[in-house]
Amino acid sequence: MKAIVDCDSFYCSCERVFKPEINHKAIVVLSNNDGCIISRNTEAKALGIGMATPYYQLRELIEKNKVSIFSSNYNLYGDMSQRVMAVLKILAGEDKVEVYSVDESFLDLSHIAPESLESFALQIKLTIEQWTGVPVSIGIAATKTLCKVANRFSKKNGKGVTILDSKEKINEALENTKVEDAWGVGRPSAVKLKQQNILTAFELKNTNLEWARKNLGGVVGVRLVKELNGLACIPMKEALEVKKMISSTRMFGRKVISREELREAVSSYVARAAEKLRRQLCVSGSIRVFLVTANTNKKIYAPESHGLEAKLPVATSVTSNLLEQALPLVDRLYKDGDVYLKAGVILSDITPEDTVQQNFFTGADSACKKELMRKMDNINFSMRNEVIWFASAGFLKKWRMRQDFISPRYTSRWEELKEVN
Amino acid sequence: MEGSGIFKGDVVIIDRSLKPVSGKVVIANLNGELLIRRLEKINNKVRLLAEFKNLSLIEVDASCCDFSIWGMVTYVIHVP
Repeated sequence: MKAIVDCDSFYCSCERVFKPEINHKAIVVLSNNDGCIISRNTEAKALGIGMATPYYQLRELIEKNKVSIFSSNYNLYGDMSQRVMAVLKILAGEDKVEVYSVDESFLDLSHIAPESLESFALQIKLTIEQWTGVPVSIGIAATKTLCKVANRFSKKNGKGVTILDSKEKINEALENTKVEDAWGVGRPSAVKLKQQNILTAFELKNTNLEWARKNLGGVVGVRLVKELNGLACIPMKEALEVKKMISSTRMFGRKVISREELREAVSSYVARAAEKLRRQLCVSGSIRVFLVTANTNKKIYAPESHGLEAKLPVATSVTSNLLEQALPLVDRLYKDGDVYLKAGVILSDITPEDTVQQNFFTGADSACKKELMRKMDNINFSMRNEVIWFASAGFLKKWRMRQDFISPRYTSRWEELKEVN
Repeated sequence: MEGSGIFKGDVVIIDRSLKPVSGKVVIANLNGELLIRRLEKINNKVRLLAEFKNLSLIEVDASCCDFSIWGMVTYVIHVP
């Protein structure tokens, strides 16, 4: 059997650990730039606050109901996530945990006897909650897709653990799951399924495989139907998945018109993308920079994106080498008088760092530069923040996103520790 | 908490994985407020001792309070 362990309203829960006075009260967390709601707890859901709703549309409701509101504090959430996953690895075994996202992990439970599954899951749940303060729900079943189905019921049944270990239980759960709520059913698929009068996950389970292949994205659709039938098709993955493309892009906190600020923003995105690249032990052979401008005709919102790509002489993961290529692209793209809303960087042509093609004229990254990057990454990781950066990313960073409601970084800064009396 | 050698401005290390034990210094959540106190459990009665002359002890009535132990204090870093 497999399991998914999913933190309940993760960002809200992280905030609540250090602020028990908001226990049992409605909490929301806003996205970058304080744009939309990206996390809300049960109490906030009950007020009718929907996921991804823009903050300004809800301001009145939030104020009237005294909802606690937070800007996203990725420093805190990243650290709390590491704690949750660390506890999970202690309890289930390092090699049995697949960290799937910041707040979810799949577990391989093939070594646990069927009759012990429930007590094991409850122990995991209690321990994570006691040690980290973050509540979790657990869904257990034969396949990842069924685990996800089970987990939806764990969130509702009050116990926090659901095991789908018999045909009857599986069918009942699937009958009570809308087809669009099944894992892997995107919006286009949901539309097609409804046209076929397939409304529940149970009906999807009994769909003809050939129909699924033709209409639900080929192999992906077949896999989905098989998984609902209890045939595991999505294996446990290694923790470190190698990405073929890495991007880093953000909306600016305010409109940007100067070339200097654009260069700073792009430098900081290059640095972030390069760090991700180094984390997966890869190098990149090309870099693309794009800038998004507001349409000068102010009556309509029609942003335009302009981009340029550069090939690197030698594939690299050293931030300064990437900056050398990226900054001239900014200069070429920049038009005096344009108003910029957003910029981004995409690294592609990604290969493992130990297979770098040497260039006749320039050598591979020097050991010294690599060591510098390693040191920088270590320091920034231990601080859960960018505390060392290239000067080209600027010092004021006025273009940086808005975070009007940010909480202290309780777990990673001495000067921001929680105070008690 | 001067009586336990913990002064205003000190840093304490909390271990959330330890089971709360009577007689130890804890961080308690009482009605949403985090307090540092010595925990005393006698015959199902819970009391929080401030060990500071200006603060009186708190008798916790579990039936009307939102009460839980947030974590156990294991070490103090004292600012001289």
